[in-house]
Amino acid sequence: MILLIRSLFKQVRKPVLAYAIGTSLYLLMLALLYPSMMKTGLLEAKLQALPPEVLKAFQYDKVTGFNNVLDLLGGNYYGLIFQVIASLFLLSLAARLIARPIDNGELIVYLAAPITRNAYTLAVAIVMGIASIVLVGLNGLVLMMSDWWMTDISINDVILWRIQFNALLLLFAVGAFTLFVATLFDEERRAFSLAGSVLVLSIVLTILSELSDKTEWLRYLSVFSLFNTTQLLEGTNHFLLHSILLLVLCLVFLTGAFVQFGRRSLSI
Amino acid sequence: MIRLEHVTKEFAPGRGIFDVSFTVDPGTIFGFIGPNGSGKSTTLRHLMGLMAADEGRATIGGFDCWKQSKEVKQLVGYLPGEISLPGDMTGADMLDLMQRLHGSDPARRQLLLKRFPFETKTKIRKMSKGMKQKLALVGCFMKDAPVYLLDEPTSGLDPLMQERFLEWIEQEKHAGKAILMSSHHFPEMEKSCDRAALIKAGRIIVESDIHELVRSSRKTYTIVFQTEVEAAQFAMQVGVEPKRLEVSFQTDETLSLNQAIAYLTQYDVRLIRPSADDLEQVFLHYYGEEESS
Repeated sequence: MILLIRSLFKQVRKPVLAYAIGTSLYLLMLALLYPSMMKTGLLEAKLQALPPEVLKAFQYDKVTGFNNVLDLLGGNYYGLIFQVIASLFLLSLAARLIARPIDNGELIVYLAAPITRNAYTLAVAIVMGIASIVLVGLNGLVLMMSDWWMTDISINDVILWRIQFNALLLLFAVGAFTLFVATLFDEERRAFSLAGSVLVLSIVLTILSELSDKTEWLRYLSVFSLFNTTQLLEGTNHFLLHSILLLVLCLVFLTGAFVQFGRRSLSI
Repeated sequence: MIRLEHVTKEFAPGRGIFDVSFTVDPGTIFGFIGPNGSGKSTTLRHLMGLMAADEGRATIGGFDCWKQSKEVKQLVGYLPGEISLPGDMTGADMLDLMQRLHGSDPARRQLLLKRFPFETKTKIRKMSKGMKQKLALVGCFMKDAPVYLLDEPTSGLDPLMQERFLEWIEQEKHAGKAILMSSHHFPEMEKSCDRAALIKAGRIIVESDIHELVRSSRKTYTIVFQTEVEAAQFAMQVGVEPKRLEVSFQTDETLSLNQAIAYLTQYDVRLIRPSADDLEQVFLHYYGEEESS
């Protein structure tokens, strides 16, 4: 199993590091710019000039004042940007590890060896889990270290890691979903289209739910509503409930992936 | 060692494999012959536990190929028909990975690389079809398995490598391995196989000892005469149509070769040409019968 995990991780190591380092550099840049942005007051003035619906859609609820860099990141990175990045990150991982090897027949390298399909699915799930940990872990570490090095950032480590933990569980749930969809089809394109469409729809539903009170119910249809940094920062988030729901979603889709991949015929 | 019992898998009405049964004993090579899309690869996929049969059962070493695929794959070296390997890896990387996944013997790998040499540092994406085939052959046989399932093993190999491959599987056969090999290449099947089955539209239409199969077949001969008159007279005697100086006829229960030779002594014969490939005749004979029935 260790050999299988190492071999699969080697295949996705470069894109995982690219996502983790890229997003971490973006967070570092915002952390470095945050003190000067606050001094000039330009950011708050610009945000206040935007329509409130747009700000809500991007989860910028705290336009009345940023107390620390997490307030800024809650609306900036951990809003729409993170949802899009998480979707692309996990779609590409599921495609590389399951959908594409089924489509082009490369899966036979592993399935010709004494490896069961359950073992392969488990190894893919573990690799996607490790990749998710690398992404949110590096993001969190970069923010924590920038707080050590710089004054005026004022990051609360407990809140920071609570956000990272919630983000990680979101990645687990979305990752399990993309993995499940990847096991459904022989063609990578069809798996990518279905999973991508559902995730795009989820993002759109989250945005629409923020636009007015009448559409607020739409948020319950989107997995991304289970990761709301603004509420996490305000302390109004149902952290435990959301964590449990994300874990349940993860387990449901993982079970689906094991069952589906274990019983299907493969033309490879 | 390898056993298929009435295996049926229907993908769509009339498409799939139907009631496929045969066994391959240790120390024998079994040839699996059929045109494209006849069900050869589907049958091998059932043995590899990649497909579940609608009916019937496939076993290797007594293990159910679908339910006990891990145990089955411990016994099997598999060469797929389509060689799809990750393009970014080099040949050596791929062999390292396969060696670790299968627990293969490094000494056997070196031996095979001497038999089927290729540049192992080349990335798979840059390899020719023949190089990829050699890589897959080395990867398959470096596992010292009691059973080998080979789907079109000589596809893309040059004649020298084909000859080496035949020598290699002969050795493996004498070492007691059970080998199931699908191929379109009739001379190599005739040279190497002990038994063979012909499959068409997913159904086995004949299964027999290969030499028995060849012996029982009708053979085709082409005679080239000096004159068209002689060709026409001979054609009338054997009941066929001449093609200018040439007459082609088949020997069977109504016309033996001896009888044809007796006729030929009356003529000035320029050339006698037997059919190039006996097994191919068997194949065409059975397929022809199926077509006409």
